[in-house]
Order: sequence, then C-alpha cells, then structure tokens
Amino acid sequence: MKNIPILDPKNDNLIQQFGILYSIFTNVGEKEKIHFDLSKTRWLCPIIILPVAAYIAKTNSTFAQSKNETAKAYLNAIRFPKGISSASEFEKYVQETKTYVPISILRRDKGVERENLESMFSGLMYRILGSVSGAQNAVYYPIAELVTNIFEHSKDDVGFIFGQYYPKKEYLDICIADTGRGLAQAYKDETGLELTDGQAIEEVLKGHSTKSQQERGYGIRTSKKVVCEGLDGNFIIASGASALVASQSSEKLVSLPDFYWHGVIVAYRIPKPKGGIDISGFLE
Amino acid sequence: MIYLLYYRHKTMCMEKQHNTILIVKKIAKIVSSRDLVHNLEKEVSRQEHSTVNLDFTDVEFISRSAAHELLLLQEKMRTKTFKKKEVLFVHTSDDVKKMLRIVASNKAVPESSKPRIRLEKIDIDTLMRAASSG
Repeated sequence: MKNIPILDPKNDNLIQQFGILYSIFTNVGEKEKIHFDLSKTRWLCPIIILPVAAYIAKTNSTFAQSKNETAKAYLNAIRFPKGISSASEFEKYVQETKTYVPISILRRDKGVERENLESMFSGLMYRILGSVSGAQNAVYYPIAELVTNIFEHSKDDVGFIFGQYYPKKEYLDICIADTGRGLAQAYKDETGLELTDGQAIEEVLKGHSTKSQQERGYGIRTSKKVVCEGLDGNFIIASGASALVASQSSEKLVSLPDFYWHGVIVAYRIPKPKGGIDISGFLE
Repeated sequence: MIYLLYYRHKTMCMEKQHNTILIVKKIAKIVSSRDLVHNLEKEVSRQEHSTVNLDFTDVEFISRSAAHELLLLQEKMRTKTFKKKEVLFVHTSDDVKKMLRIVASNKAVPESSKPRIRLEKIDIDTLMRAASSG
C-alpha cells in the first residue's frame, strides 16, 4: 500500500492549500488503497481534510494519526475521518464541543434526515460567520446548491461537507466533496457529449446543464458568483484532471497532470462580511 | 342533535376548503433538495381538498433548485387531467418569496444570452508559482 505523507501548507493561502491536495493525490490510481501519513502534520484545513476523509471512506484506505497534540485533538474533534451522518448526533455534538464543526456525511437514502443535517450545518456556519443583513442567504445559497448538485449529478450516494471558521483571520473555509462520476462523465452519460475535464468545467460555467429542463445549470455558476462577487471570496472546483480557481478579479482553468479526482471537490473561502449583503443580483 | 352535529361538521368543512402541509416538518428549515420537494407530490395528491397550502412557517431558506421544483409541482397539480389541486405557498418569509419570484420570472422569460466566460488556461505549476510570489 502506498504511503502518502500529508504536509503542512506553507501558508494559509487557499491556492497553496490546493497545491498540497494536488501533491497528495498525484499518481494515485482509481480506488487505490493509500496509507495517509499525518504523523508530521501540524496544521490542517478543509480543502485537504475533507477530500482525504472522502477518499478513505470510498477506498477503505488507512491513516496514521498526527503526533502533534493540537492537530491530533483537532482531528478527533472534527471526527476525522468518519464524520457524523445524523442531525441529532450533529446537534448533540455541537452542544458539547461548542468550538468545532464535525465533518458531515450526507447520505442520499436518508432523505429528510440528510436535509436536516445540511440545515444544521448551514445554520451553524451562518451563526459563526456573523449576522449582518443578507449574510444568511449568502451562506446558505452556495451550500444548498452545491450539495444538491452532488445528489443530482454525481450518481454517488454520499456527499461530504465540512467547514472551519478562523476567528483571528476572520474567514470561513467550506469544502464540499463527492466521489461520484465527475463532471465530464455526467455530460457524457446524460447528453452524449465527450468533453475533457477542463471543457466540462467550462460548460458548467456557461450554465449548460446535463439535464434537459430549463432553469437547470445555475447552481455552480451562481454559487461561484455569490462567493467571488457577492462576498469577495475565493472559489475552487476540481473534477477529474482540471480545476477552476476563481476570485473576483480572475478565473483560471488549471490543468492537473498525473492527478485525477473521481468526483467533484468544491472549496471556497468567505471573508467575514463587514456590511449588508444582497445576493439577489448574482442569482441571474 | 345528530342532525346539528352533522350540520356543524358540514359547515366547518365548507369553511376550511383546503389542506395544509407544514414544510418545516415534512422537510427541514432549509429546503435545498429537489428530490424531497418532488416527494411532496404524493402527499399533495392524497389531500382531500382541491386547495393545498404549502405552509413555509419557520422555513429560513429555499434553494434555487427547490424553488424550481416547487413551481413545477404547482404547475403539475394545476394542469392534471384528474384530481387537480391548487397548490398555494403560504407564510413564506421575504427570502423564500424572493427566491420563488426569481425562479418564476426566469421560468417565464428565460435569459437567452449565454454568459461569456474568459478563462486563463494554465497548469498547476504556474498557478503555484503565482501563488508563492503573490
């Protein structure tokens, strides 16, 4: 079994953290079992933790716990890697720990239970970020659309969601991941279009849905707009061997050689809002 | 006496000519999934009266996808050949109302122009170098 050390990001830049994620999953075969070595890890963030947890769940991979006491306590506190999958467990857990948000695992077959868990997660993220006018919609909208996307398009039965607020830095990081068929395969299966991973991301941004109905295909595009333009945040979506890295001022389509994520990873960062927000202009 | 009771029951039914489904109980405080809204169809069809109120009391938010599915449900129930139902959205917060209106107006008059996207295409090494220097 391949042993992959998980290194600390050089700084708190979201792109640097994405670089660590890239290095972790470079040259990893589909469903290959991995031993993730966190023994030297001192600092972790959602864009790294969540995909690793999702991969462990998918492949029954293993991990070595961090030897750093703070990191170890944090990993235990967020219930890495198994997370929690019920609303009642989430509520109880949050009441007990107050500070940490556990990794939440949303299961398709749990229906209303799944929706309640997602509601609790979103509600907690909003309360943590602060209650300026319009912030509720701004926090709820991308989570709701991106999670819905998992169950509509990924064909996977499980979705993963995790967030962390950094009070000193005043930003919230959220990561949403699945280990389903990915964007390019979804286009191929649903529309017959053969696209590269990069082209599939471009189609998503143009709002071309894999479904035939009108009023489809808005979810990812408008979520990105809310995060980048409405909240001045950063947004990354990776699927297969490509990723979009976006902010208010730039959008980059990044090729990821020797890397292939079977599914979709979305990670974004929202700075703590200083004033009122109105997202309605970004919903098109 | 029996006649009076029967008369009262009949009057009450005439007064309350609708059924109510409480969304926060059937789904959640935040309604985001299409599949759960879609599942309401059976519940709505089962209702006795021809008007069914979907009551959004305590619902904080609905996603765009859920709003679309709700409008589809409303339209489907209205245009059925048999057992038509009038589905009404009641006790909606301003945010829920706003989302329903955005989706309804886009459904009625879809945006025809496609968004223009301008992506800079780079590889991961270039991205990381830029991130390090920035």
